[in-house]
Amino acid sequence: MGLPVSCPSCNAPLRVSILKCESCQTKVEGSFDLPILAALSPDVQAFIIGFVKKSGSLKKMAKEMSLSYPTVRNRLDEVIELLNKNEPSKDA
Amino acid sequence: MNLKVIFNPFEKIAGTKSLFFGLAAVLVTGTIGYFSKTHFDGILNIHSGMQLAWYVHVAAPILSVAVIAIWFWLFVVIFGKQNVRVIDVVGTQFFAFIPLVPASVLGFFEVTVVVAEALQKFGANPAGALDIAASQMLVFVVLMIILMLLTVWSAIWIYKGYKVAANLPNHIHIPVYITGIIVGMIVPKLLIPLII
Repeated sequence: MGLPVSCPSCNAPLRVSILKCESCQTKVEGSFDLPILAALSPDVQAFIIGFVKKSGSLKKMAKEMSLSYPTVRNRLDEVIELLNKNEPSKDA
Repeated sequence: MNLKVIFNPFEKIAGTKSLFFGLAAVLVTGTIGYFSKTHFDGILNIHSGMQLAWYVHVAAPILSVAVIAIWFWLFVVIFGKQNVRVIDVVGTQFFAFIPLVPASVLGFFEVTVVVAEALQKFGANPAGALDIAASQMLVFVVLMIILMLLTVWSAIWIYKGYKVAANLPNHIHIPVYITGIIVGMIVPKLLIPLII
């Protein structure tokens, strides 16, 4: 099962409240941000994984996805925008 | 083939491949146009009854598409992202010419000449009768509707191709497209006489 990233009721972003060690059963409670990549939708995560696996080659990505080069490049631009938007501010 | 591809093939094709198919379409259209006396002298501009040299029939649409591609590229240079490729902008614009290929047979229909001449006479002397048979008028209207649909189809492809290839900021997309169409209609008409 994939990690849920937004609230099923109101669609607000979810935060991590409990982390558990499977070895000693220690639980850490708090309010933690999801890692920036984990907070993205499964589609976007798959795109990023594919992009990295293709050594960052948009041409190879386009070929694999049967899409044109500019379509894949535009999708990458959208992902970059999304990452910039979700990136926690450096001042925090 | 789904409906989306009919209206936006550029999610699937761009770059060199689209340029190749687009140039082939221009070559075929220009050659048919040479025999049918159909001339493409500007973006979305089609005229019948014009017999020019073969190379002019081919060069005119190339010039028209080049003008609009250069216009779009200018705005990519000013407002666009650095990763936009010129081959995508040029290639998609040439590919967008493909819907107009069937329009090159327009001049083979004698009725277009007959109706155009009758309308000219009527324009010069509105008091006179419009000398067109009902059947000729019907064929003419059907041809014009088909031509209009092909032109709209090409206009949609010009927009979709430009949108995918140029990836300009949303607020300037439409103004650049509209001005591009206008420039693409006017500038080739000024340039074509230079190559005749």
